[in-house]
Amino acid sequence: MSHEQGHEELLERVVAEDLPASDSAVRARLAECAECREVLARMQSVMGKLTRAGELEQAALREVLEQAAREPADAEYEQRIRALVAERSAVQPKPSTTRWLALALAIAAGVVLLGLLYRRLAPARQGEVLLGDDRIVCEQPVGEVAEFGTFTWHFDLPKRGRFELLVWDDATPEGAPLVKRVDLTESRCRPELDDQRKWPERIRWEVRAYDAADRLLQRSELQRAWRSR
Amino acid sequence: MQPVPSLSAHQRPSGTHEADLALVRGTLEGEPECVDRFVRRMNCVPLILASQNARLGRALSPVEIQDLAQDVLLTIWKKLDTFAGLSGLETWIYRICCLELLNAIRRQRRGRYLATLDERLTAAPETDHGPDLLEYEHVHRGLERIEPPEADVIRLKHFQGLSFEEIAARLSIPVNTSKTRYYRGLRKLQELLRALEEEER
Repeated sequence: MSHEQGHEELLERVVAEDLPASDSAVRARLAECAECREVLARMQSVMGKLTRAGELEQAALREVLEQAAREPADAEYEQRIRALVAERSAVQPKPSTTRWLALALAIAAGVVLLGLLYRRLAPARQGEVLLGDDRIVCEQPVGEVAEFGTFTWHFDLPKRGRFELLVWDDATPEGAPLVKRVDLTESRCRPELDDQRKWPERIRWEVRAYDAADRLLQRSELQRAWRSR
Repeated sequence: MQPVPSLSAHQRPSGTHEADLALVRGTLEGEPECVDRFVRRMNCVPLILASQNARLGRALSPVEIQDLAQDVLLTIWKKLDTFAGLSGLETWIYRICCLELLNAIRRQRRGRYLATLDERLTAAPETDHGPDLLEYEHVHRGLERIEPPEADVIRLKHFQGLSFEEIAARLSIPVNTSKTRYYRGLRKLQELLRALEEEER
């Protein structure tokens, strides 16, 4: 067992509370290895910060919830929230909408989809970038592919902005992402091939663009890709 | 700092986080009963902003806090479909409020004069919560930048106070996996925090 692997394993057991720092094996390791001492001290410092942040959050929340129970709600603010919900409901009509309206919407959606399809295919065919376009246009991988490979898309990122790439197992709608890359400045990303080989056969992915102040600018449409058999 | 006991069940407005997740989904689907409950729960936003602003020595005026409450409302609404129910709804909202408040103060100070928020926060007396809130911000910005499986374990451990066994059960993973993710996440977080602190200097 290499020194590196040995000390990481021991430190992991200490940090994960399997071994107390006062354990004789731990103390012996710390006494002989300056790197172990430094790593453990840094990890304990981060754990301290996390604990303080957790305590701050709980104390502040307790205070706010107690205040909320005492004070009457802000009617104007409530109205604003209801307006937001209503706006969303207006965009997403319920199934009770009359049949003719549903038909009209379906036709309109078809036209929009054709337009989107045209806009998506045109630059890919000509190898152009959609300068000035306000949407994120995902390029690949989409549909059936031999390997997922490099993820590419188009979007004019503002100065000091960043992209996020998220990839999920398409079979688990609520699962955590397989990959989340958060500091991308180029409109492409190639997750490690070794990792990709462990991915399921079908994935879905999306890209989000943020400005320099970390405000969400755009989210791409959800893309699906699967390996050819 | 003295340890703070967890919020008791009656202080968490709707009990379990799964109930909060169901409430959010119902709200997004426009179910009237869910919308009513959601609206009541969102009343915590102006209160959180006002209380944290007071902790920072009232860096923003009451009018600015009112405006910010509207902006934060929009941010929460845009992000609502990413709420995964790993924490309570108010906890999730509280994090957004704090980060947006600090951003707003930075923007305001950039406009008025060159002194940065961070100079003010780090120079604040010990009784002031500025340094704590700055550290809180760093921790959450760092967590946003590490892989979600590792960040989730760290959040559940330190912000929900769960044991590794409880984390494993919540995430449906083996206990040893939760420990490994915790360790890996901490190592990455430690590097990110160091970088964030150097940026602030």
